[in-house]
Amino acid sequence: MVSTARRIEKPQRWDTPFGPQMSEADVNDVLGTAMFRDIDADRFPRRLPLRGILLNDTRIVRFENGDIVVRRGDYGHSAFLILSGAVHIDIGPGTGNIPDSLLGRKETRRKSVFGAIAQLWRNSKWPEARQLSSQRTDHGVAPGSTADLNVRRTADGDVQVFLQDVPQVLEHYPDTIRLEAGEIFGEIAALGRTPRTATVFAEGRATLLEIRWQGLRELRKYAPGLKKVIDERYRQSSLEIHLRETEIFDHLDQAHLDKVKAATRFETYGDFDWYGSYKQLVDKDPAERLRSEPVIAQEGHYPNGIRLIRSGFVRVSKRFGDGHLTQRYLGRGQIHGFEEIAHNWRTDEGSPLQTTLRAVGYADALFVPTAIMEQYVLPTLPEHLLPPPLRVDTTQSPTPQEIESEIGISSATLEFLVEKRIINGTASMIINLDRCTRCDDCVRACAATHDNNPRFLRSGPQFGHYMVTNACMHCRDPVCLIGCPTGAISRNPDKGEVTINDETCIGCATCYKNCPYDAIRMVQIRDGSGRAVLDDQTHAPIRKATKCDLCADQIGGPACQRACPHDALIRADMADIDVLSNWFNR
Amino acid sequence: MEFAKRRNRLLTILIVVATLSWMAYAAYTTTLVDTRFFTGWVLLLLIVALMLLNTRKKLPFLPIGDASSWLQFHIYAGTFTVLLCLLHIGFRVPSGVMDNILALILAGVLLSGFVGLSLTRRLPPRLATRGNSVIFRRIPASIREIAREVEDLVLESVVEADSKAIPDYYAKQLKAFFARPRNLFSHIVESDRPRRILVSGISELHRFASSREKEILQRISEKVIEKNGLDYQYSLKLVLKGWLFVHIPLSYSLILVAFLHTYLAYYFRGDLQ
Repeated sequence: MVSTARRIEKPQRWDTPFGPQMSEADVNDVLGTAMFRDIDADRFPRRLPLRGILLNDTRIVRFENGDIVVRRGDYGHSAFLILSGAVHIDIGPGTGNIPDSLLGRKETRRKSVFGAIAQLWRNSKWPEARQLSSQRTDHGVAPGSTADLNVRRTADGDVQVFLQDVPQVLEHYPDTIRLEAGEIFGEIAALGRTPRTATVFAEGRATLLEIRWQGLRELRKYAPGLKKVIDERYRQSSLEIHLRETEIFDHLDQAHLDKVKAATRFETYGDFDWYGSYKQLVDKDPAERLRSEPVIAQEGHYPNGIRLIRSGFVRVSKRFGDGHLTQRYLGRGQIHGFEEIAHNWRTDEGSPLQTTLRAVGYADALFVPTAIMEQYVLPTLPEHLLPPPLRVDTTQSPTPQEIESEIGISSATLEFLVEKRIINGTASMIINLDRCTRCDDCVRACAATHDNNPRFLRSGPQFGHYMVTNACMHCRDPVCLIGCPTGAISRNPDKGEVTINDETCIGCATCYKNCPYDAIRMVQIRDGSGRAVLDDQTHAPIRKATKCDLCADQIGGPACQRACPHDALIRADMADIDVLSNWFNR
Repeated sequence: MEFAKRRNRLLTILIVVATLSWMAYAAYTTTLVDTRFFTGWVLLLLIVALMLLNTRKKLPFLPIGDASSWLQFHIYAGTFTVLLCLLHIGFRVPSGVMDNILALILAGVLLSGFVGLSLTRRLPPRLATRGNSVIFRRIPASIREIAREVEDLVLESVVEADSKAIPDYYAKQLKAFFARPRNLFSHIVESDRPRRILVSGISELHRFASSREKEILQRISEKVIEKNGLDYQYSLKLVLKGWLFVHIPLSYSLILVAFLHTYLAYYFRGDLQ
């Protein structure tokens, strides 16, 4: 009798291993390290074996002396385990000691009044003209363009930024922590997809195991020892900050806050790589898109705790007819379930959750159990922070019109904003087509402030008589930052705008491919005489990534909104639904 | 701020300023001083201030107020110039060639301004009702592309069918339609008659067409509707851009003639002789 092979479904992401060079021998070496030695492989399910995770979700990366491993402000999507050698973490005050110029970033300086006016005659008449040095390099960053930046090509052909003289760097910027073999870092940023809080660079030769976030999530799930280590580090370093930033916990004394911290659970839903799958889903049936969103909390269930959204987005919906009506969306710092728990605590009614919570793309949440809320938080909560009593009506669902009159935005608009992930934007450009005369003053203003090169297209998805243009939304979750080899694209930690350092951009188009909103454009650059600039070796035109930078270097701020004479354009933070509602209902 | 609230607030300010101006003028005339020089200077300075809107648009990088506020000032101050002008001319018909020219130009500027304001409020909502939203300068290219597609369909009918009904109809009725933007006035007045005529003409051919030709005719009919939509977009956008080609040249003429008028006024008063 022929036995048929049993097929076990492996994760689809393993079709593209994180490190194609990762071998079984490498996996054996990793399993011999202190971190993995004591992990019980039998706890892992058959479709997610420990060896499979190490083979497909990790890779070995070798760094030379001074190589930048991660930069502060980079968006985290992987953690690192030091296999050999050592690294330094820049823990200087504020944003760290190591200056931006050494990391590939450019400090944006606002123009003076004269500099702003001088744009009238200094702007180039050629599109995408650049002041270039005569020499090109094989890594694409012009020498001397950013004076302090050091760049080289690795053996694999990748571009690597490095610090020239590590002893001198350590002497000038001594506030560093040294990590050695066996230590892990970057895991909190990877699990939360939050910005890296520090720059890390190699001292001497270092070999690191880079674990992408999916693998880290599985390891944490099935290796209790590792989970304990990671969760404990998060509790010590970040959890208290997150809780203190939240109004309903801010009043707690330390003893009660410690109780809340001890009981808090970390939950992750959805897929960090939503920007890949989102494009496939965007044209699908709404019901199918909804089914793809993981349910976090279900309408009608007992409210067993609040969920504080740490990152990502969630949809709050209610059953309506045969579907679900979106009532609102929540982002970082917002809470679900609090109204029901507070209502039950005051009235003993035992009302269930009034709405369903779903992750849109991905969502990271802190779960605080109801018992903890009732014992430590609610009794001491200031009266004005208690939500109004729930009006529980089990016989009728709110209609779309009632939703609209409550929040000022139509249900169809809400659905559109959530489905198209416009809620990600902190400066989404929305145009009211009923007021827009198509005069293009906004585009001309953008061009005037960017050397005669407009940085957005006056086109994009429409809903009703509104259009969301293909202008950079400076997203809360800027997936464009992931994978930039030179640090050219970055987010300003103070003002939040995402900008591209043209000098260190090598035109690899990683950000362009990552952006789900077609807000980044790759442009062919020219010299001052209008001639196309070609690569010395390949003779291919040199391209750079460009996008809206919110006029970061202009004294007046974003020129587009101020240039519209008909009040037809807004740069809106989608988290501020009141501002959006007021603008829609003018 | 809601538009209605803003409009009410600014109208109130305009009425108050106009009333106070009239009262001040009435009081000033009792002094028997020639008020025309004073009102003339105020009018000239106001016209210069109104012209600065264009300058503001050329300086988007300076924090000198947003264009929307400048436009509101332009609208209400422009309206105020009507009263100021009437006060300046003493509510009489101007005499003399120069004064009449100046008055006519000013009237032209005011009229084109009010018409333009009305157009910018009425036409944009109509743009969303018909046709694909294509940037104005790309519309001719889009029309050429549709024309090529229709020509291909016509050629296909020649190959596949044994009659010349479609090519003949295309040559006589459709070729000119697809050559460039058409029926601009009809679209401006929201008349759908040209499209209906073309589509019904195509429908009449169905009775004489084979099944394959009917398919081709159906597709040509869809292209007529698509191109008609582009014509609609083109017409309205042309008007939205075109009215400025009346208003702005008249405004520049106004400022030039106004300065000349000022010079002549002082000359004939004897100040410059």
